[in-house]
Amino acid sequence: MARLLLIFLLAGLAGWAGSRRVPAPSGEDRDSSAPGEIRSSAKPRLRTPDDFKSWAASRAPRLEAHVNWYTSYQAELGAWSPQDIRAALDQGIHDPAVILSMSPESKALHALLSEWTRRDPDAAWAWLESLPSATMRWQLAGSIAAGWPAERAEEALELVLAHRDSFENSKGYSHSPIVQKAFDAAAARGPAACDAMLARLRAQGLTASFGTDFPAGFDFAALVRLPTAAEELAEGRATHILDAWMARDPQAALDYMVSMNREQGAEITRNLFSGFNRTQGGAERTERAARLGAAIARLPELEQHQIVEAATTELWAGPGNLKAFIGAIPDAALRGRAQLAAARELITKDPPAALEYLEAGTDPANRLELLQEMLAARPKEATAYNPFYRQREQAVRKTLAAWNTPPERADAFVKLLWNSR
Amino acid sequence: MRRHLLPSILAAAAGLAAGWLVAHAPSSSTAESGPASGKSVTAPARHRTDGPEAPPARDFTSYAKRAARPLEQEEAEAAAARMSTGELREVLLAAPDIVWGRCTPEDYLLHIAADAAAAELFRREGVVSIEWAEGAGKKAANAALLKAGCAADPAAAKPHMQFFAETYGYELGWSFAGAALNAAALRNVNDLLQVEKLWSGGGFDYVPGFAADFDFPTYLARTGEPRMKETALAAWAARDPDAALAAFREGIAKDQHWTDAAWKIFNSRATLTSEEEAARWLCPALTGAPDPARSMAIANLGSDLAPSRVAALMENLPEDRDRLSLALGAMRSDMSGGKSSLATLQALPGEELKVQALAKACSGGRDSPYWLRSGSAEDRRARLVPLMDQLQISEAGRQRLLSAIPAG
Repeated sequence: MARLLLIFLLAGLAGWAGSRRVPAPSGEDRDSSAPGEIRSSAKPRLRTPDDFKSWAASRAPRLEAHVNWYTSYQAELGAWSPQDIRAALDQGIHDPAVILSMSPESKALHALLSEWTRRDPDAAWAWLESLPSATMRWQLAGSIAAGWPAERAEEALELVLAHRDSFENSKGYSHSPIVQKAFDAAAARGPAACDAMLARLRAQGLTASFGTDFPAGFDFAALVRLPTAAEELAEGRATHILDAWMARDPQAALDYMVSMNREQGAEITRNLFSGFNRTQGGAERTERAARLGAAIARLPELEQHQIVEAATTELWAGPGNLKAFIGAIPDAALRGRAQLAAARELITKDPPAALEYLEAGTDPANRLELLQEMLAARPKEATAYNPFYRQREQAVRKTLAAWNTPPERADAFVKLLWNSR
Repeated sequence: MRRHLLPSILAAAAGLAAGWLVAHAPSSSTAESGPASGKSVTAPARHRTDGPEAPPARDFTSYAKRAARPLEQEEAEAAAARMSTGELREVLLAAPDIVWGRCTPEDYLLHIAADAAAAELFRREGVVSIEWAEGAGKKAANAALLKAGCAADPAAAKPHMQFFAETYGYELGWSFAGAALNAAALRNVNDLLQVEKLWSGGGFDYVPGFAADFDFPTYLARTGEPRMKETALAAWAARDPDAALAAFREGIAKDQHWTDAAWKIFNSRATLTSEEEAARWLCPALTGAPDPARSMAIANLGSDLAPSRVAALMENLPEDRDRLSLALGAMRSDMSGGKSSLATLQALPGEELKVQALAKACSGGRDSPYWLRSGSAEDRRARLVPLMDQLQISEAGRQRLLSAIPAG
């Protein structure tokens, strides 16, 4: 008996040790989550930042394979049959939680319909059209637009035009992805097709305005000379073309915009900053601001100054955009002037940032006097733009202390800044 | 011989199995537990039951639960629950910077990991964890812990927003408030009201969900956030239409502010059934409301709904005065210079009501839509003519309408 107990204990020890020697599954070998996945009950053993990095790298392809990669719960739908999806949709449209548009139930409904549309757009559209609730049809039409295959985008545009009521109501519209895909498809065929699509959209009161995927080597200079594009741009529409051109060839795009503005007697700054609200990401905007700052060097001095003045009012709200624009100006004198203009603009909107520009653009000897002047020149009704304004007082005090401002004068500045509210 | 070995083999096999089980048993040795703040905070991450592998259920309810907590979040939360405090901090310090508009799938996943680590660390240490992040000087770690803190214990975490704003700027401020609001709505009424009070004047209008046993009547009676009141009423109408409608009836009888909620509950009901059913359900409550709430609520519905959806309401309003209110509301929100009003006007029965609605809209008074108020009298006539053509208004009706346009 004692011998059996000893064997049991030794084997137990071996079992424990053997099991512990099995390496913790790494990101690469553990991913059981391809489409058709079964959620593994063996949770990944993640402990260190490196473990998480491997895990993120292994999970990323699972996300990227789907319509919207951030809806990671869409990944499992790859294994669902169309019948499964349809049955879940039929069930989901009656779930009370779907009336809250950001609820998990609502997200699930959208993911299901996007996936079905990706595979079988005709069946998905027919199902949507059969729903008795126009409100639900409108709510879900965006998923049809998001999931619609790009290769059938121009056909989908016909669908949108024939059923605008399903994609539009007084609260907004959801056809943008289809319009955009149709425009991208036209752009892929070259400037003439692109101009024809612009004309078609214009006639229907539609626009493609977000991040058009122009093919490499696209001839923007040719497009902007074609009739509809020229007309649209002269009216300040379709400026996403200029955004894309600016990203590919900033100097040529800037030269075109400036020459068009001169020709039409418009302000030299027209359209130069319009893309900042449209470009997709913060980093993209910052890069565009830097390209613009670098490209103005070839313009006449007066126009440079006009652009700099406009930049301080147009770019201040995006963190880093104004800084990138000013930092990229090659001429030191113009850069200094831009820093002062920025300080003047921001003194009522973002005092800590204004002080940074003042520091960069002025001589320490007359910095405090300039600050005094700027504060005196502010409009009386200057107000804070955000609820955290007062919380930034400490940052202002820190900068003033670094400038060796006497404490009583620093108090006076702070008082002046906040009395304006 | 074989008989002699059998007990030894069985003992060895049992031992191996027992050893393996010991090695794989869930362990809490590395995961300190319990909030340091002493305040009740959110429950630890739930774990799906380990067991025989089965494909995930393919019904909507199960799938929506997985959408609420995707696989990656589940994995990150399970890992965080097993990690030591030091390991959690390391993961937070390694979190990628928050850069607006630039988020790769890898960064997105690492933020999920950071959020899971932050929630676990806050659960164990309370505000001490936020203070640690403030000292560590890492924006992403500080943001994740502040968000976790605002969600779990908003009163304790909110004062730390000041440090974050001063150090890193204010652009994430509303995401902390949103985390607090969303989590509180999933807990209970008192917590939600507390968050609204902490961020008073926050202009909150939306949450992704309410607790399963959320006490809507108490909340509607006590909240000071008008948009949140409408959201809650809509959610309640989806769960319990009769109870929500009774509350709406009672509310609109006493307080005109409830008129703004009419389209929200209509929408809620129409989403889950149909416009026709929602109209049949809501219209008696609207026509039973005292004036002026009655006409205001009906006009609001007209201005908030797509013209194609107004027809169902029109059919369920038996009195002409209500039909006119609805049509005038719809015309008021028409931004297409009259084109989108056509469907609403067509839904009015008979020519007389159509002419009355258009005449009122042409009068230039408070009820006039912008497209019949702006421009010269000539411009306004030009906008009216195509509508009259499409509605096939008689000559007498046309003359009445054209003369209703004030000169100048």
